[in-house]
Amino acid sequence: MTPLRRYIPPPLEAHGQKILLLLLVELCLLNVADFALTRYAMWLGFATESNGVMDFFFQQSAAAAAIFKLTMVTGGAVALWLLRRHRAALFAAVLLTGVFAAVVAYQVLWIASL
Amino acid sequence: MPEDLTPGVSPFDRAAAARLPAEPLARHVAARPTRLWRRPLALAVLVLVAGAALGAAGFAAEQHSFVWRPSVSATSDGGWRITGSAGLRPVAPVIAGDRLVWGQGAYTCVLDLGSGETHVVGVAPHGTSIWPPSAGERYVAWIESPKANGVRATLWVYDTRRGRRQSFAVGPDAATTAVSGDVVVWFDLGPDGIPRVVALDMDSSRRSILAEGPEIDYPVLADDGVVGWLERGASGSAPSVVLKDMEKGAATTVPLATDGSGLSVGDIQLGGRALLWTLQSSTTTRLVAFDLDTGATTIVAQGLIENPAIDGTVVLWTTGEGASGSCVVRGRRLDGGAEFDVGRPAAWPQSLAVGSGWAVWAFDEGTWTYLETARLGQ
Repeated sequence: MTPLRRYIPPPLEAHGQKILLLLLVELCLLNVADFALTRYAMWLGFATESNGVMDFFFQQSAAAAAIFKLTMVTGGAVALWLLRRHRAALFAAVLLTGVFAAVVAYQVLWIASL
Repeated sequence: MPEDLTPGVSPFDRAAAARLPAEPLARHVAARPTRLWRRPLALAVLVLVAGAALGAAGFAAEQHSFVWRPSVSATSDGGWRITGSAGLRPVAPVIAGDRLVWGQGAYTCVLDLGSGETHVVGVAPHGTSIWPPSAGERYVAWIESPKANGVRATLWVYDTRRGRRQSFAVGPDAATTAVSGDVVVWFDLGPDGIPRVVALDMDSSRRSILAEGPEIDYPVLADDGVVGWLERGASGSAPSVVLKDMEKGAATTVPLATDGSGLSVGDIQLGGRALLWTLQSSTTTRLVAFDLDTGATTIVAQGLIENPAIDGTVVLWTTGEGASGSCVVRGRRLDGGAEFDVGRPAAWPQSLAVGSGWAVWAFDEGTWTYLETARLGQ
């Protein structure tokens, strides 16, 4: 009987690492846009923060919320970059960037519709 | 087998290869890094675009399925018609500046009379009732009162210039708002239950109590730097309105009827620096105007009069016409002149408003309710 061997995917090659880097840069920029648009929608009086953790930081101050949000996402992006040899880092970056792009596009359209 | 060093040239024909013109080295060096990043960049942008498209699709689906917008259409005479169903009747229209403001179910809406652009500026949550909106040149204000006893109400103020709205906690019994310039006023009860008129300066966000006393009642009024409120005297005595010039601080008390006259006072409104109200007897209704600058009281019209409206220069009202009793909206300028026709609504209006050269009326026609605007003649 052949023993089961753990599948180890091949490491992410240089081309994939370039995509990962670009996606992480996009992610950080989208995070800044997400924060700015959320803050603007709240200032307009038509939106409230539905994320309980972010709402806690917004209750403290906008600066606290900004520091928390930017630190978390930028830290996550750095962590993914440190894991760049793993293909999972690229999948995670694609997913996160896609979701953030969707959120930012939704916010832009929503604010424009007010 | 090793690759050809020079494509298309036999490795055995070294002499021929040496005779070929050499490609410039700089072209390779300059083009390579760009080409290396082109595909990754394209893929990263693709992820961005796909995500944005997903967000836009979600927004469109949400707007289509869950977000309510008023039904506004242009009329052939350059006006606007807002259509509402029985459950969402457009009511309490107000015209201020070039905007029409109205309430529709839980919603407070603003229409730009020039462009037809509409904004839903307020959505009251379940379990609240809304006082009709009031509007000035820049601000729109309304109160949302929770139906539960003792719960504080919310005053909402929408800034049409910035597209921003702000909320302010007010007393549970706060009622009726009015707007003049940057000042929003409303009726409220103090902690001891004594009625008061409160003003909020939107420039400084400072509140002040303009008047307090057991005789104060609503509506509160405001326009053109003047704030007014109703005062009810002892039982049997006629009510009066106190008009306060916010700049000069001078207050004028306007008795609305003589004591013991038995006339019913109604439809109290302030437009510009003129106060308007109706005096109803068993046989007729008189439409009375008081000019704050001259102190003169005049009877604007008499007869079957409903839904009077004033904007400081013109007074409008609805009345019946002919044997059929069909409805006509008539008007008269405060500086004199004869009455004139403004329009003939399809059904008897429930409310009427005037301002900035526009008139608007709300009427029911079967299962539908309409708000219709008309331009006033010169």
